[in-house]
Amino acid sequence: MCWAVPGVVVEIDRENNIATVDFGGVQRQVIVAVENINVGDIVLVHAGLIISKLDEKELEEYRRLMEEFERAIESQEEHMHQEYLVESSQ
Amino acid sequence: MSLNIQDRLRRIEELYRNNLSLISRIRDLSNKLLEKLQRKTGRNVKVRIMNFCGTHEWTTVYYGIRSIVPSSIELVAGPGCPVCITPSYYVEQCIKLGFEGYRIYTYGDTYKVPTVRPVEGCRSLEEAKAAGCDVVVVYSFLDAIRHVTGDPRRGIFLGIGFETIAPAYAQMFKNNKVPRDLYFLSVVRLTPPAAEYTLNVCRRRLVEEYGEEPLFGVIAPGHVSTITGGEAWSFLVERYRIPVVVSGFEPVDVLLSICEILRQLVTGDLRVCIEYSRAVTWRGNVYAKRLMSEVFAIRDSFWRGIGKIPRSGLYLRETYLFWDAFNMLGIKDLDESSWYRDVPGGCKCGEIMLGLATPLECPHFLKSCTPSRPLGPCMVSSEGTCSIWARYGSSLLIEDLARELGI
Ligand code: SF4
Repeated sequence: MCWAVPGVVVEIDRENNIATVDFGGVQRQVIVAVENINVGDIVLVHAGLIISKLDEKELEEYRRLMEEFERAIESQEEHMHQEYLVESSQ
Repeated sequence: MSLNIQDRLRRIEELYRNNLSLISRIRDLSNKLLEKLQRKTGRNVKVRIMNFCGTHEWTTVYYGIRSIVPSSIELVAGPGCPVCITPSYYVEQCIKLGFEGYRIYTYGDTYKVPTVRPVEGCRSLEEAKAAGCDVVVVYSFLDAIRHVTGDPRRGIFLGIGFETIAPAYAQMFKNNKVPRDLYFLSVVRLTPPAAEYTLNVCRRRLVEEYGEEPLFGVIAPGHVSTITGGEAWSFLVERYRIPVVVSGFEPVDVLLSICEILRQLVTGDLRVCIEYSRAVTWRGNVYAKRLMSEVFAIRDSFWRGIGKIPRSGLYLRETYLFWDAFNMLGIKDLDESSWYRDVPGGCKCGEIMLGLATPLECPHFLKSCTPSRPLGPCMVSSEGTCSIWARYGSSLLIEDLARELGI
């Protein structure tokens, strides 16, 4: 039930808090419970409700996410390597 | 523009899903971290990492993550499926009202979920419909509202769900969009109190059995957290010293979250880490949270196969009593004296949802209980642990992935 599907907002009825979202060809009307939503936003939809707006900046620089992962892992590996050096020199 | 974005979305998904070299590096890292943890604690520790979301369990099983991580990491599924934890009693009440002439609106999974006590010979809303009751399956609350408008027949919406769906109900009530002839039976449940309850039960059991303080980590539900925010989980760190990672749903997300939990256990730098930062913030969806608290009040509530969990249920506030099925139709809510064990004999759903058993320990699993003929609640929804294990547990994907990783 907590499955959520990303889609793109194509129309907003602000008065009724209802939006039309395109899921890659299929369109559905869903309830809006997020603020500052605009046409073109990428949103996560769960059981007919927009639960979250995906961070556009992160989407545009999607490579950055992977780089972040890589960096996180590298720094972990480095950190552990250093600790290992310290430990083994004791 | 829309196509373009869809394309980008797909590429992101692929990036998360098919990055095998990254997956194997994460795996190496978790092995190293675990070694460090063993050295630090001076014993062969087992780390139990619990998830509280059916979709995380799906990722875990589908991508064979249990076979990728070191064997001293136990990945445990908690109560993460709203259909599974909805007490049989409420479905039975709806069947009864269906026979009294009301139209029942419900989601597809709730339509199929078997009750433990038959009503007029029916053990599910599906059977009630076959017996002539008016039961309408909807995709969303909005669909039910549109369906009922202008229809004189009084309807009842069986409002199940977690924090991910509660704002939809709240938004419609707040905006006065719910027709007067649609009653709402609120069975909405909150995840953090259930996580706390489950961890306590698990801990007690492990201390009793092994006489040892278990090490826990929590993979917090990503979509629930889009609403609640990361902050909703900080009590687990503060009160119980348990590391928490709010995780996304791709295999890389889950593996990275496991790594982060190990890292926190090794360094002692315990906190709530938001790995799913592309959708979750620390404060969450403040607007939706406000809507929820305006429309709903928090009370103690019952969970199927488990029993009472303090402050875990959402009930309509007095302003909305006119729609409240409890109030308008005189449905008595469950309490300690009326609560009954609501899983069939032998069914281990209660234990499974509390992380005390796996589906393999149930005598009915894949024998008298299958996805096409479910006996217990966990076999119905695609988010139910038994249903996930039944459909994907033996997935060849695990072996494929392992072979590709050379493990
Ligand atoms: S296999 Fe069926 S009967 Fe057994 S625990 Fe799961 S849902 Fe219950």
